[in-house]
Amino acid sequence: MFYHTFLGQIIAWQKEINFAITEAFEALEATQSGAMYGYIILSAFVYGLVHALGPGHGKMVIASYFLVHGANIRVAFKAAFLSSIIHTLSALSITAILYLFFQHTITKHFQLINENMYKLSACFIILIALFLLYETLKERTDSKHIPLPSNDKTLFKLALSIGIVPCPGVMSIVLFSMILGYYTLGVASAVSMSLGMGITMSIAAILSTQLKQSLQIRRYETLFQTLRYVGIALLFGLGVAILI
Amino acid sequence: MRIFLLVVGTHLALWAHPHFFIDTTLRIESDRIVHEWMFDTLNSKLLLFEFDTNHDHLLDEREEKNFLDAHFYPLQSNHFNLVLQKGDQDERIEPLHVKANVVDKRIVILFTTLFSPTQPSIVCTIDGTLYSAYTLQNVQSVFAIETQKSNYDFCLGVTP
Repeated sequence: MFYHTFLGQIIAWQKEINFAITEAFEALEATQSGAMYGYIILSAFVYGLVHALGPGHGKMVIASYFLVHGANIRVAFKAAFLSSIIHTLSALSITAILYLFFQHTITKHFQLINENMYKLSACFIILIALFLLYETLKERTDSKHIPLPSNDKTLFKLALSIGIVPCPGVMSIVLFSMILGYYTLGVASAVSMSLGMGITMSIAAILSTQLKQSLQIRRYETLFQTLRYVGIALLFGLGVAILI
Repeated sequence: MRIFLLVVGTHLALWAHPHFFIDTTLRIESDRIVHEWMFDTLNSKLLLFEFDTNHDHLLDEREEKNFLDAHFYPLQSNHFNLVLQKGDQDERIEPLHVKANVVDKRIVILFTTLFSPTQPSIVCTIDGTLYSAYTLQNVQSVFAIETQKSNYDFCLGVTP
């Protein structure tokens, strides 16, 4: 029941922001007021914050990864922002291609691209789950084995697995801006939205690193181990679910 | 059962980011229901950019067909996001008189489904994948109705 209400609230906010952005663009067209630029960019930021609040594969992947692998807050923060930047860049580039070359078949091509990107993302997620399983099993059988800390390359792979799927929210706003002829504003809104999403995503990442640390400190070893396997199973299941 | 599955599906949906926000109006008559789906302004603009190929801000016959083929008829695999249940039985859903036009810069789909609630019935509009969020704006009915609605779906209990 709580979840139903929460989900409804997120969707209601998204609808309101969607409406506010549309109105702002209409006001901008009518007045050419500079203040409207700021308002639209700020609205896009709030849209990013809210957009990422709902259940999504990105937060699930990132939370599961850090629950199993662990990291400090800085690394979690970095991974979350990197994911939202890739998510936005993916949307920006695909929107630009669709706008320039496929104006009358946007829906068809968007669906095609989205489906394939989800499949690619699913393969990455399955690979990450298998890698985490390998590390966990190795740690159990070899007490000297210490999992390597997440380096930039690992974080990039993690972020790519999440962000490669273009963000439909970003695509809508950028395409809307482009249609009206506000190219720079469209890109600025996308960047602003990506910042908002990054903040929400990093909360999920930081919470899961803190949960892991707190379980380790308190020495709830059995619960901690169980959660690691649950995290891996969740990741693997999510990858398979998206793939099929 | 289908309502239960749809509700569970919505709860398990991995994407709480509806693409379309659709304001819905229903008119329940003795033997049919007239549905009106009005898309949000932002998405209407995007859809018109794609389907209004002669840029007259309207959907002529060919444009309307292309739009419906892309955004309405594929919903058949999901029973057009509708549940019509008479007693315990799910009714077959076959939209008639399907039209799409533009009102106040917003795309509107209008269609009719045949339905005679000769016993207590349930009428829902719900997309389990949350690709579209349906909000009930207005309902007129010749029968007594009870409404249960959220920000993304709704169900009506219809008593003859």
